[in-house]
Amino acid sequence: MLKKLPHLCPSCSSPLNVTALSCGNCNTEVRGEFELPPLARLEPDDRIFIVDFVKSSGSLKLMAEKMKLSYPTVRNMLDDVIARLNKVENPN
Amino acid sequence: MKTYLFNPFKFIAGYKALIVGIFAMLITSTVCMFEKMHLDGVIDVHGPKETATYIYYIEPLVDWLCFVIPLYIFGRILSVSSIRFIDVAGTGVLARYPILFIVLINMFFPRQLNDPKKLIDIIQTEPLLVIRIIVLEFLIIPFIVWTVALMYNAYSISANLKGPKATWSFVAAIIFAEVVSKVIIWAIV
Repeated sequence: MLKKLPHLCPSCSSPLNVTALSCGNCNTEVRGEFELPPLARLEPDDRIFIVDFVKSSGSLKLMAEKMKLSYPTVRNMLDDVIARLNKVENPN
Repeated sequence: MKTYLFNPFKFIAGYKALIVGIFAMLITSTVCMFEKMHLDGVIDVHGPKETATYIYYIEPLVDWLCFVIPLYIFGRILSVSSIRFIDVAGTGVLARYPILFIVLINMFFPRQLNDPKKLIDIIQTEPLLVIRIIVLEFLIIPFIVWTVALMYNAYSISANLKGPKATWSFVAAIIFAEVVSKVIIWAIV
């Protein structure tokens, strides 16, 4: 099962911070207060889209071919991701 | 299936849509030429009326350009996306393909429909003709709705507009196109 990274507090809907990181190999733990980067605060589908976009050298045309969708559809998807990214960066 | 029927632009736009749409437009114009029908407005089919051959091919071109140019201007003003004319034009011409079905249905209308005097005489002698006209009119309605839905979705996708902004600009463009295309076609014919 793919775990969804929670980025909003279920109680007050404020952005969540990372307070502990651990090494999967030696179990070393690091504690502190780390802010999640904006990309990590996006939904998994948006993150997958961004990764594919970067792998396509930022070519919407190539993305459209890979996704078997039209160019304006993919451009609209990118614009929607940009809008959500702006919202994540400036929630107010 | 619903997406393919009402929003094929999710999968096809730009030059591909333009080529397929122009091909459909040429077929429609050729049928119009043989049947003496005229596409004298954005979603108008009238006839029969004899004119020069080139008029049958010019009319849909005028209708299409009168519609996509204001849509592109609205898109540039209202959309936050960087829209391309080729997408608005390509999806705009492909959205017109159901007009071919409207033309085909129109072939079954009584030829005398253009002459009200003759039509009244025929209706009096042939009451079944009235039923035929009503049935054909009802058959055309879903195709008109289909065409308008396709035109709206073409605009919505190619200009990345949704909601009230998309609706009022689409309605304004269709009214503008209807008036301007009629004036241009009237001037040409």
